[in-house]
Amino acid sequence: MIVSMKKVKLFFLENDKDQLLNELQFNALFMPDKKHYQPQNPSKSLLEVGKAIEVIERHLKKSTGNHAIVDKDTFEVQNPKYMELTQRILNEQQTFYTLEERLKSLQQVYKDLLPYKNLSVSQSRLETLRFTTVTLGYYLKTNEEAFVGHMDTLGAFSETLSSDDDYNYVAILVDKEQNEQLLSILDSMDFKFAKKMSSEKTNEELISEFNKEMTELQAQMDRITTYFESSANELGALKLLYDQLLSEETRLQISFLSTDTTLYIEGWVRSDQVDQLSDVLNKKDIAFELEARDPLPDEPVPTAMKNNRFVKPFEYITNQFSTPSAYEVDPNPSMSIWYWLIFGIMMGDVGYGIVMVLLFGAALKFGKFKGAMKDLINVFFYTGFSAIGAGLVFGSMFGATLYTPLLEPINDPIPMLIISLIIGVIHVMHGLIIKLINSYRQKDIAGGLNDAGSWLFILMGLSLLISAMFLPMDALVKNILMYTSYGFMGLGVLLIVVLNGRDQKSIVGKMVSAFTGLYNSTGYLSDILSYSRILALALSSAVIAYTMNLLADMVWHSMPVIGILFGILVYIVGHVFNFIMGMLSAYVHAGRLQYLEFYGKFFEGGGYLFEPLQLQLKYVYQVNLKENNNKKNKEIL
Amino acid sequence: MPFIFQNFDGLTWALMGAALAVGLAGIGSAMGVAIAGKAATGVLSEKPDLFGKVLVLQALPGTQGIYGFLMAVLMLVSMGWLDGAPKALTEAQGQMYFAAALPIALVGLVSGIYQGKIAASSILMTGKRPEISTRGITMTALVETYAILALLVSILMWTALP
Repeated sequence: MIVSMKKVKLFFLENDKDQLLNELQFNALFMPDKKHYQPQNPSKSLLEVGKAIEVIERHLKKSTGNHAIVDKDTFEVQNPKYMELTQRILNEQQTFYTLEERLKSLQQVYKDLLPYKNLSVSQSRLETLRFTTVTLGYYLKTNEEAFVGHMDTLGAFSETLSSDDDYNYVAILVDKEQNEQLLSILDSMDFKFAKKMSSEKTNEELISEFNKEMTELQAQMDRITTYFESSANELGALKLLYDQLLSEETRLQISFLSTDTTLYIEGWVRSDQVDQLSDVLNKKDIAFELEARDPLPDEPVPTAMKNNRFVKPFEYITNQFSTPSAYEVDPNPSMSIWYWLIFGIMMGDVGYGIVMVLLFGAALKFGKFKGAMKDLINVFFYTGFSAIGAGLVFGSMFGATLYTPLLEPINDPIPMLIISLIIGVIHVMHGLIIKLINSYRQKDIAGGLNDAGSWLFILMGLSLLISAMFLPMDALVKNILMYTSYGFMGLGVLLIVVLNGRDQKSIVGKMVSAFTGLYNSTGYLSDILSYSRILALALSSAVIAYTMNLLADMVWHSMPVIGILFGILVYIVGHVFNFIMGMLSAYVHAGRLQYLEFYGKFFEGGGYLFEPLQLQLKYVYQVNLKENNNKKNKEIL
Repeated sequence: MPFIFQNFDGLTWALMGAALAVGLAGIGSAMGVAIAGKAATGVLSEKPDLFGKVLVLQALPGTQGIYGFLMAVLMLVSMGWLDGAPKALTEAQGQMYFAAALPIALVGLVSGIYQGKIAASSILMTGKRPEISTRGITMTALVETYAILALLVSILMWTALP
C-alpha cells in the first residue's frame, strides 16, 4: 500500500540546529527537499579512516568487525582515540613502505656482492694499486677453457672467486699497460663487469653488515605487520568511526533556509509519522514549529510503501522496473503473489525448492545482508516454498519422478500448457481490474471502462465460451454459458466502439479509433500466449534434471568404484548447473511476465522513492534507538 | 527431396534432427554469449564490481543452447537411443523427428546471436548506469521469447512422435 505524504515545514532556533539534524537522521522520518542538499567533498578524516581500514584488512585472512549492532548513544559519540589510531596506522604504513623500499635496494646490492665474497681486500683498496688493475666480473661457464687460455697468453692472473650453475665469478689482475688489451678480450667474450663498490671494508665485512641491516629491517617490518594484525581487534571501532563520519558527512550536506529569527527546512514526511516526528523532537526539548500540509495537485510526491513482511522484498523487483507513482495503487501486493507463484512453477521441483529454502534461509539467518541483496534473498527464500509446492504437483524430486503426479509436463504437456494460459488470463484480468481502480481514483471512468473494462468483459466472455465448448456439461447449462459469453464479449466490443473515439470530433475519426481499439486484440492474444513460457521453463528445468540423472546413472554403471565416484560427481555438478540456470531463467522470465504482461496493463511508474535523511551505514548493521523497540527499528532500516 | 538424402533410413533422419537441435541452437548461444562477453570484459576492466550484474546479462543468450540440448535429449529418449534399443523408424517417421527438431534449431541459432547483441548493449548500459541493469535484462529477455515459442512448438510436435 502506498502511504500518503505530508509536506512539512520545520522552524527552529539556530542553537538547536545540530541536535535537530541529529534526531532527524537517527529517526529517518524526514526527507528534506532537494534544494537543501549541497554536495560536499568527502572530508580528509573520512578518507583516512577508510584507508586505515583497508590497510588492516589487507593483513587479515578474514574480515572482521562488520555488521555490528550498536546503540544510539554509542553511535552519537565519536571517539577521538580512534582518529589517533588511524593516524598511527597510516604512519606505520608509511614507515613500512620506506622500510620495504630500503630492503629491496639492499637486497639488490647484496645479491650483486655475494659472488665476490671471497675477495680478501676491500674494493676501494684495489683502486689504489700503482702498477696493476684488478677487474671483477663473471662469464659463462661454457667459455671457461677459452677464458683460461686468453688469460694465460696475456699473462694475467685470474682467480675464480665463486661459481654458480651458469657463471664463474672472477677477479683478474694485469699490468696497467695491458688493461686495454684485457678489456677488448673480455668484450669479445661477453664478459660482464661487477658493480663497483667504493667501500673501505672487505666484501665479507660488507656482506655481514648488509645481513645485519636486512635482518633488522625485516624485524621492523615484522613488528609493523604484527601491529597491523593485532589491530584487528580495533577494526570494529574503526568501522564504527567510518560510519559515524559518513553519516556526519550527510548531515553536513544539509543547508537550511532562514527567516529573521529562525532557521527552517522543508521536506516530506509520511502522513502516519508526523506525530511521531513531533514526539521525537519534543522529547529532546527542541523548540520547533511544525507546519504540515497535503501535497498540491501537481506536486511530485515521493513514494513511500508500507507492506507486510511477505510483500516488502518484492518492492525491490518493482523498483527495478520503475518506482510506482504516489497517486496509483501499490502494485506490489498483487505482483508479489504472482511472481511467487510463477517463479515456483518455473522451478517446479521439490528438491530444488528445498535447496532454495535451506540455502537462502541460512543466508537470511547467518549472513547479515542489507538492502537490495537482502530483498532478493528474501524473494528466493519465499519462492522456494512455491517451488516445493509445484514440485509436489509434478511429483518431481531432483528430476526423479516420485509418484504418479497430478500433472506430467514431460509426458503430456498439453494440460500444463492450458494451465499456463489460464494463469495468463487471470493475471492479465487482475491487471485490468487494477487499471479500473486507478482510473476510478483519477476520475477517468470512461477511460478505465474503455481500456480495462471492455477487455475484462471480452476475456471473461472468451473464457466462458471456451469452457462451455470443451468442458463436459449439461446441454442447457452449456447453452446458457454460451449466450452469456456472447453477451459479455458483445458488451466489451460495444464499450470499445463507443468509448475509444470519445475524444474524436468527426464520425470518421470515431470509426477509425473504434477499429484501432479492436485491433488491440492481437496484443492481448500475444500477451496470453506469452504465458506458455511457464510450461516451457518448467519443462526445461525438469528435462535437464532428468537428463542429468540419466547421465549420472550411465556413468555409475560404467565402471566399478571409479564409475560410482564419477557418477556422483556428474549428479552433483549437473544439478548445481541446472539449479543455477533454472534460477536465472525463472528470475528473468517471472520478472518479464510482471513487467510487460502485468504492469503493461495498468502501471504508470515514474515516481521517486521516499528516502528520508538517515544514517549511512557501510559497515555497521543496525543502530538501535533507545526510545523505540527493536522491531520498529528494523522496519526503518 | 534432394538426392543425397534419399538413402537415409528413419533413424538417421531422427539423429540428424537431434544433432541439428543441439548443434545449431548451441552455435547460436555460443556466438551470443561471446558477443555479450566481449562487451562484458570491456566494462569489467573499468568497473570490476559489476561482475555479478554483467554475468547475469552475459548468461542470458546461453539458454538457447540449453533448449536445443533439451530437445535433443527428449528425441534421443523417445527414439530409444539411450536405452540401447533404438526403434526401427521408417523413413517417413524419421523425417517427422527431423521436422520436430527444426523450430528450436533454426530459431535457437538466430535468436541466440541477436540476443547476444542486445545483451552486449545492455551490458554497456549497465556499465554506465548499474542501477537500471534489470531493465536491460528485461529487454534482453524479449528476444528469448521467440526461442521459447519455438521450443514449445518443438515439444508439442515431439509429444505425438511415433
